[in-house]
Amino acid sequence: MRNYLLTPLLLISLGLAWQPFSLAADEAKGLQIAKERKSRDIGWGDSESQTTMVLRNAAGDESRREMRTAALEVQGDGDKGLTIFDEPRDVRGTAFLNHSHPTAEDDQWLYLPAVKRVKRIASRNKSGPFMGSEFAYEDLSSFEIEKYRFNYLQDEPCGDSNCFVLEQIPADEFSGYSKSIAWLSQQHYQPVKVEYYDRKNTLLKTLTLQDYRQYLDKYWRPHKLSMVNHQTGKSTDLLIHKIEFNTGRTAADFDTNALQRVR
Amino acid sequence: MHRLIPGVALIATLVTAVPAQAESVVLGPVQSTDTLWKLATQARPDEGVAMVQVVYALWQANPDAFSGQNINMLRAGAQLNVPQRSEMLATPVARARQWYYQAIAAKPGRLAKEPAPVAKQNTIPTSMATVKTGAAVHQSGPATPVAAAATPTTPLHTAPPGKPATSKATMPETADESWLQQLSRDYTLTLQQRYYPQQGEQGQAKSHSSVAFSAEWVWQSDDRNHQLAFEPYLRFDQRDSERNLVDLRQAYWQYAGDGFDVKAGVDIVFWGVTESQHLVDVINQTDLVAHIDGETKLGQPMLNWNLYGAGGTLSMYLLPYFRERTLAGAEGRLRPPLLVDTDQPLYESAEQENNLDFALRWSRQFDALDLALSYFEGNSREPILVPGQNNELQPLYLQMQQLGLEAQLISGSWIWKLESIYRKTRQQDFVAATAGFEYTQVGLFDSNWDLGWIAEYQYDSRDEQAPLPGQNDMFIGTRFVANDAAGSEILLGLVQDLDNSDSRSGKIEASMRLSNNLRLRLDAWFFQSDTNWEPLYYIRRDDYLQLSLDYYF
Repeated sequence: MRNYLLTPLLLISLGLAWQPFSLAADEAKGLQIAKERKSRDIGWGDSESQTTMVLRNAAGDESRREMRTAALEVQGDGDKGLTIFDEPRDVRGTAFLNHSHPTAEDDQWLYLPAVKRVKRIASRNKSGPFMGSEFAYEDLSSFEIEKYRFNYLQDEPCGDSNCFVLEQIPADEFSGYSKSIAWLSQQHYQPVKVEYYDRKNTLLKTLTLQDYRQYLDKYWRPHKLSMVNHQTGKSTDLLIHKIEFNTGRTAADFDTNALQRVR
Repeated sequence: MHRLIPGVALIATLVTAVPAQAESVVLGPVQSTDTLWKLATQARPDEGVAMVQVVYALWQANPDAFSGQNINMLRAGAQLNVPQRSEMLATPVARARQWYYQAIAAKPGRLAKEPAPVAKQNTIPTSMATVKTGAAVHQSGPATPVAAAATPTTPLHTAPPGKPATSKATMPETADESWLQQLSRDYTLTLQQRYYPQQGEQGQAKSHSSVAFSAEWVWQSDDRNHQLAFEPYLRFDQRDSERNLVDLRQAYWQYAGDGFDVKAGVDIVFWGVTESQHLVDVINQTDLVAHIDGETKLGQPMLNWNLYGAGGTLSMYLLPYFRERTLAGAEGRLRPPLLVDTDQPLYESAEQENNLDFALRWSRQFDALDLALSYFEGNSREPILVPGQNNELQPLYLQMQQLGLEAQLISGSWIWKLESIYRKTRQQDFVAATAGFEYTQVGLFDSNWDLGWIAEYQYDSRDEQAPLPGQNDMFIGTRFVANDAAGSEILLGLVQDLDNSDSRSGKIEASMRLSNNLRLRLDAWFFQSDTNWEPLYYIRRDDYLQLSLDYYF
């Protein structure tokens, strides 16, 4: 068994060693930029926000979702998130709790108010749509270095400033994407545009992030996120009305016991 | 019950066990690039402590590190003693938050500098110079006007939160919100039409209409500690008066503290992990006439205490009043051939419905595994139907003791589930279990559809004596979720009796959203059995199709 394994492993390592030198340098720069992005976003603590999601089909028909979210930064692990749905009315009071982990699978629970049940759900596959929108669960999860391999491609002008263009290859084999290309503003190292490529490596979706505002003198947050699906013509806008930091949320608010009390 | 108490105490100690405190730590010296917030992120022991609690504790424990007690004026070069975790937690989050917002209002913005205005007024060369010397501490006192005005007389450690505030205008945003804004009001009106293709065994009608209304008022205090809920539920049925109901599903006050919550009043509590039946779920009575699947419950008066910590969650329930099961009347379908006289219930307990029932549950997550153990003693929620007068049946509620086990293991896209009970009444004792899995495929055939498979085996040691189906049965279900804007879903389920191949039941549950306020549901059931002592045999003519429209406002 060991011998059978050894040959392909050897071949793979040879293959890696043979990669052109310039690519290795780009990877180093890509990782460096990604680390800078992460380090600039450390220390925000906790936040609460109100969001409207506007779903549009190819014909332009719209439907809306209203939700409130709370997030907690966790040092040394992925962040915790709580989403409470207000509209449509049939899902009002439904709550989604996520404890994300950079390398392991997330822990996820749903609170179903009709039967007062906290249901733990399988989280392996993050490629599913969030609330029928064009956003997949993985598009909304917290940014962690360990989730990707990075490749710096080039600098490109974007809007008022310049952008780093980064290729991000998901480490998770259950990701719905083969890769994504992110345009990070050189001003604040946050993405202003992301292109997602499906498993067949064709362009699937484009996300644009607008209306960045700074909080606590440090943290930049977008207030309009538009995701366009090029293959179906559908699109979803996330409009964030209000973000508050430092709301006094603690880990106890992101516990399954608290999930039953969420309103 | 007496024997239980030492056990409860032991578990309670385990649940509340807290890891040992760390040694005291010092942060600093403060650099000119530091902010109090940044230092607080370093000082924060874990996410169990809110950032505002850390900031407040740092401020309180290090009076000399701030010029004029102003948190916006952290001195460069100062060293900050990091208080113990318990000291940080001593100030409630809400108070710390209120203090913080008032305190930062004095001068919003960067925190880690000598007071710039002072420096300018006094034309001291540069504030940077003092920052670099690291001797800023000694500059406080009469030399700086701000400090002179504020510091010398006030003992800092006794300063209550809110004291340093200089402006009332920027109180925390929620403090002035009206009481009404924290009250949520939701109403649901349901119109339901059932159609049975065959007339009932006792000549009951084919078409049954009903209407139901529920209101839910919930108020939560600003700090989320107190919650009041009130949810009346009304139902009117065209044919069967036993299906008319006035119920209180929720009417409670709940207080959530640090690591515990208490609740007094009426509520619905769910225990369990499986999908096809809910064996362990025993707190609430089943509103059986609402839906044959038994998932609709009646409100239960209770005193509930939940304690949570590193050892898991311990829940205790005192249940002072018993609710009888709803059972179909003469004009109703889905009932035994003989009528049940629900006006004359029998109890084993001399206290009857006032018997004080008791329940206990411990649950804990071990990574991918969830475990729960529960105990219940009191009136059995499940009546035995005994022959009464006038050729009618009477429901008899025996006393019971039940031990329950719930286990769930997540492994990739698979969720393995087990529920088991051991139940003892004066009549018999038995074991029952449901075990199986749920497997989900996401993005079926490159679409947005999710497909879930559920398979569960149902066991009951009473065999054929069991008053319900599910003694040696297999449930197979499949759930389609379209992930579309309408939230369309379809669940197909089939229960096959493994002893009698002719006994089975099946269901379809489908639903979709019509608008922001409307949801349409379609439910269909069929019941088959040729074996005349099978519970299913009595309802073999009661296959039905049901359309419901829910209006939310």
